[in-house]
Parts: sequence; C-alpha cells; structure tokens
Amino acid sequence: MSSVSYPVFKETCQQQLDQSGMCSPKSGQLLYNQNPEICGILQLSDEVLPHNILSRLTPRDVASIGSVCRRIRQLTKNDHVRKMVCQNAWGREVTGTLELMTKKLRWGHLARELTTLEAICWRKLTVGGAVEPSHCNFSACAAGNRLVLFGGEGINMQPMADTFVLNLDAVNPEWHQLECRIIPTRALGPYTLMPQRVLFSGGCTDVGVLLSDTYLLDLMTDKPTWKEIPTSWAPPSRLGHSLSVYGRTKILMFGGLAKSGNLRLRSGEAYTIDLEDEKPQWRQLECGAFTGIGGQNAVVPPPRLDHVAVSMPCGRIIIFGGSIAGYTLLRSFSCWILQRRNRRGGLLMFLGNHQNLLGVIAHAWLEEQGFWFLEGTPGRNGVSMNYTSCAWQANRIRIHDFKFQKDHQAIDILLVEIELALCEGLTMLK
Amino acid sequence: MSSSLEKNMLILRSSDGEEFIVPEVVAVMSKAIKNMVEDECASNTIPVPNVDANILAMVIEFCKKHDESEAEAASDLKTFDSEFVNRGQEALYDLITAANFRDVKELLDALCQNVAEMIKGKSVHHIRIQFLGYQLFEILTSNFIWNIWCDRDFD
Repeated sequence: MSSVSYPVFKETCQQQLDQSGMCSPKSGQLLYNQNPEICGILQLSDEVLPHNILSRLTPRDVASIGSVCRRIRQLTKNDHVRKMVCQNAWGREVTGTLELMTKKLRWGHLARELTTLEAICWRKLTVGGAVEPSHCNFSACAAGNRLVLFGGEGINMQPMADTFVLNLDAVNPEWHQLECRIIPTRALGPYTLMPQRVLFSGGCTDVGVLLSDTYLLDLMTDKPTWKEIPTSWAPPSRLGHSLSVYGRTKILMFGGLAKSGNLRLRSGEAYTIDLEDEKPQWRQLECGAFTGIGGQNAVVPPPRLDHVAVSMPCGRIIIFGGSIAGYTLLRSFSCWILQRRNRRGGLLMFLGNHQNLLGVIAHAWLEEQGFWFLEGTPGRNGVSMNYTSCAWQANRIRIHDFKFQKDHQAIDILLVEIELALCEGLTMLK
Repeated sequence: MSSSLEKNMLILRSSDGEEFIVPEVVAVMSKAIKNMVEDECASNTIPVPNVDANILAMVIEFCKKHDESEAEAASDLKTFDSEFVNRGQEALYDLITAANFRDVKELLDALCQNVAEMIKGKSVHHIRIQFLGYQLFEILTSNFIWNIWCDRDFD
C-alpha cells in the first residue's frame, strides 16, 4: 500500500476528455449509449456515489479515484465524505480529536498529510533555563506538550533524583525544576506519556539493584509530586523496558532486562495495567493475545531491552530495535548495529481491533526512512550521549534528540515536530 | 388475477410490464414499497418504474433470501451476499440504482461494499481501466480522438 505514491490530481488533456466525454452526466449519457461496454458504475448519481461508495474507502483510495476524472474529483471534495473516510482509517476517537485540534483544515488536506507525511521538517528549538547539574542516562518523556526529564546520573556518576519540566506551550519555553523528588534515585528508568501525566516503573538504583515499583507524576496539580501506585503484584524488577499508553489509561510494559532468580535475562513478556481501575494491578498478557490477532503469520518479538516503543492511534504499539541476545554491544550503540545488520528488524506488535492502514505505513517508514530509528552514539570518552525517542500524538510526530555534553554543561534539544495541521500550501486535489 | 391472489401477496410490475407475485414481507424490505403499503396507496399492482424485469427479479431473489434466512446462520447469508453481488459492472450499476431508488438498505450496502472493494488499493490507472473500460481508454488516449477533443473549447 505504502509503495504507491499518493495520487495527485493533474490537469491534462485526458482530464478534459473525461470531463466532456464520459463523466459529465449530460454528454456521458450519450457516450454510454453509444458504447454499451462502458461501465456505468462511475456514472452513478451524485447522491449514491459519495455516500454509499466513496465513504467506504480509505483516504488513499479516495485520492486515487478522485484523480480518475473531474466529476469524481468534485464529488470527493465533499467534506462529510472525507470525514467518513478518515474515520474508516483511524477510528472515531482519533478523528474526533483531530477535528477539535485542527478546526480550520479540510479533511482532504488532513488525510493527505497524515498519509504522506510530506509536510514534515526539522526545526531547531532554543529554550531558556538549564538542567543543572548536568545529567546523563536520564529518563525523558513527553506529556501532552511538555517534556519531563528525571533521574539519571550527574557528575562522577552521582545518582540524581530531580525532575525537570519544559513546557512547550509557553511563549518562551524554559526548563523548570520541580520541587519534588523521586524515591529512590535511579538511572535509566523507562517512562511513558499520557496527557499531563507521567508514569514511571522499574529501573536501576545507584548500586545496581533492579526495581519493580510504579510511580505516577500528575502535572495538572499545583505541586506535582511523584506518587507510588501500590500494587499487590508487580512484574519482575527490570530495566531497559518500554512503557506505552493505549486506550487513554492503559499502559503496556514490554521487554527489558528482567530479574529471573539470580540471573538477569532479556524479557519478551508484556504486562498491562489500567490506571482507571480503582486498584490498578499489573497483569501479564498471554502470548496468545499477540499471535491470535495477526493470524498464522504473526510474529512475537524476541526478548529485548533498550528498544523503542511508539504508541499509535487506535491502540497500536510499535516495538522497534533494541538489544537482543547475542549482541553484547554498548547499550546506546546497539540499535544502530541492529539497524545496519537487519534493516527489516522492526517488529510490529498490534493491539486493538483496527490493524489496517497506519501500522503498515509506519512500518514502511521505519524501513525506508531513517529518522524513525533510534540511534544512539556513545560519546568520545563516555561523557556525552544522544538520546532519541519518538512519540505520536493525534496530529504530530515528535522525535526528541537530547545532546548532552558534560564539559560544556549544555543541553541541546533538537525537536522534530511534524505538525500536520499547520502546513499550508500542500493542499490535496486543489 | 387479483382475485386468486393469496392474502399478504403483492404484485410488482416492472418498467417493461412484467408482473411478479411477491409476499408482502418480502416486498416491504423496500422502504419505498413499505411506505406505499402503510399509506394504503398499494392497490392490486404496484408499479416499479425505472426497474426492468431482469433487475427486479434479482432484487426479489435477494430480498427473499434475506427474509427466509433471518434465523439462519449469518455466515450462510454472507456467502449468499458475496455470490449475489459478484456480477458484471452493468448489472451492478442497474442493481445499485434500483436498490437506491426502491430504498432496499441491505442490498445497497452489499453492492456498494462490493464496488468499494473493487476500488481499494488500486492506482488511478487501474481504476480508469477497470471502470471506464479498457477499450474506450485506449481509444480516448489515441491521438486521433485526443486532437478532436483538445481542439474543442473547454470551460
């Protein structure tokens, strides 16, 4: 599907032919009568064609058929039809969110940009404030439009327990330190993002002990503090795993380096917790839940740690890269090696009912365009580190790239914002 | 003829004059006919203009099957539907027009879904060939016609 480029309507003599020849109902009737072998389906009335047929298609199909002739192009300009088409592809909830966020845009425009990602561009962001003292091996995540950075190691590998927030909605974004501490201090714990809430589970303390506790930071309160979520059972303690949100309040934990008896082994298990429950509990997902959805050809991701997990609309989660058994490389380097050795190494894991379009396309992006890959490089003498993560929100994709240099005490943030809604000049079928 | 008609049977007359005796429960799957019956506009014979005998027979076949198999397994009905809609494009066009005009929702849904499946995943070129007819497409792209049309004055 994604190998077909997105069709663009082109004005050619052929179109004029279509217009005056077959597809305008008036003269089309004449031609139809003269040539009984011409199919009449595209001559169905202006009422039946859009509402009964076009509305059952996907955005790309509508773009294709809209380029066939001028009359159908006019019919595809119907915004109601376009909305139905977007709902088919992305589900009702995502479409509703998109509608709220991008009031002024037409659905045809949105559908095109979301399908092709043609409007993406890099933007360098300079922000005020500073994260001091400098950190490395910290955890970071996006919560709504805010970046949260916490934990990690300071100077001389000193474990840190502070939390910094960068609010990108502000006119002049600045780093602020939160007056709260995460207990106990830890390095390289995973994170997840939810609207205005950050969940944090597991990780590793300064003396190398693996943890299995779960904390929640709510940024909506006046004085945000980390709160532990008490659970009667928790997955084995681990680090290097991923946490992803699906269905608003459900969290999926996958992989990592887990404690198993006296050993530490890579894990391929998945656990979920629903924060909306009265007493949230971790539950293990059966492997059958993965294989059952994809049918016979389903793959189960092999055990791994330090991979990337991306939450997509409609409850899909993509697991990519990481370190799998047999590769004993530097942790931050392992993804790059995996990518080189096995470009098709991205494994897809689907949750939820709609497993059509977006997941497949994202997989293609993973394969064809490098920017989706997690790529970390160890610094010259171990003091700098690039940290990349990506997160998909309703209408934008973000990739954060933290460059950290201990000597210069500077944090440089490259932020890619694929703001599908804000790009003008790339209108579809106009 | 009407005197020998059983109770709860309706006569439908196609545009070319052929008459079909249909149980009322089957006929009222068409909302248009249902409205006529409810408004007591339905005399002995209900004319179905714009739908010829051939197409009307198909529509009745579909409605009968759906009426009978309400209790049957849904999978059977699905198989029937997919076989029923697997027709030439001309018949599809006529059926869709008839289903839309007589307001037979199940039939319209099944037919339109079939057409949508024919479009899905196809390139512009393939859609043109499939729906505009390969031969005609070739003729239209040939220089001869091209020049004739391009010489004309367009909007």
